[in-house]
Amino acid sequence: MKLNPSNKELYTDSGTFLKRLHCPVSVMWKNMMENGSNTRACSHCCKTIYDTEHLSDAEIEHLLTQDPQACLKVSLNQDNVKIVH
Amino acid sequence: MLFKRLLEIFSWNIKNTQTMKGELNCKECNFIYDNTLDECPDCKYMKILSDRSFDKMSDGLRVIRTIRGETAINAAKDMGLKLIELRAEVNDEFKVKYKKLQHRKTGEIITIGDFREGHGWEWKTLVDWTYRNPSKFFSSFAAYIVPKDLKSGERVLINDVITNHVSGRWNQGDVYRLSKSEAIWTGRYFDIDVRSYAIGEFIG
Repeated sequence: MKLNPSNKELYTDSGTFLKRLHCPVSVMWKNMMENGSNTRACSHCCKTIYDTEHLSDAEIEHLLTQDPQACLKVSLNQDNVKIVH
Repeated sequence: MLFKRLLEIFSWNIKNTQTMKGELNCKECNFIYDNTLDECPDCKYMKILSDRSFDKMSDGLRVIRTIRGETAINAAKDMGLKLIELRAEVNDEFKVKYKKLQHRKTGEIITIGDFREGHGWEWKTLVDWTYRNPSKFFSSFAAYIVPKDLKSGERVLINDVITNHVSGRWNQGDVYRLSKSEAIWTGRYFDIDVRSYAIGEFIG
């Protein structure tokens, strides 16, 4: 996947827009409780946050098709993310 | 013949807006600025003073105008606006790399920022890997325009942060500067909430 850090927009490697990453409550991943192998629970809005580090573009697309409001966590240093400007 | 040629050179120099140093001369305000900028910065910040889009809320927060350069700051003072003036310092810690490529057939120009991004022979290099410092602005004079009814403790959104804060570090060497952030008005200054827009980790 590709990430533009200045506008926080996430795309697939082929350039399809996935979503803009914005959290209105500014939560931090390290402060969340694990509730699955690649997921954590947000205590502010009771949603599950998916760690994209081990997800393929197709899996993220599928996830967002099922639930367009699904929350994702993307780290600047994860191997499957390319940075674009 | 020579006279005609001299006349051509002279008239070209009058029409041309590029100076000998590769700077541009703004047709609207005559301000001379670096040719790497997309538009005249003096005009850009003057327009912000009257840009009504700043009156709209963003993500439920009021948006604070930032102006840069003496012209816009003096104009804001003339308008009677409440300003928090700060000095925009250059910090060499910040560096963001980029490379510009152009498609050989279509002419499309793209900017990439990741060493791993591979492109085929159809893309030629216009600008090879280089770093820019995002804390360098055309002027060291900058100010926030504070709405007169802003209450102490109110959370706001600043689209152009003046003070320097590290937004994130990337393992390819880039150090990002926090350009946009939420902040809390203390009554005297904006307390920047770096975490709100820091880019080491993205959630949303």
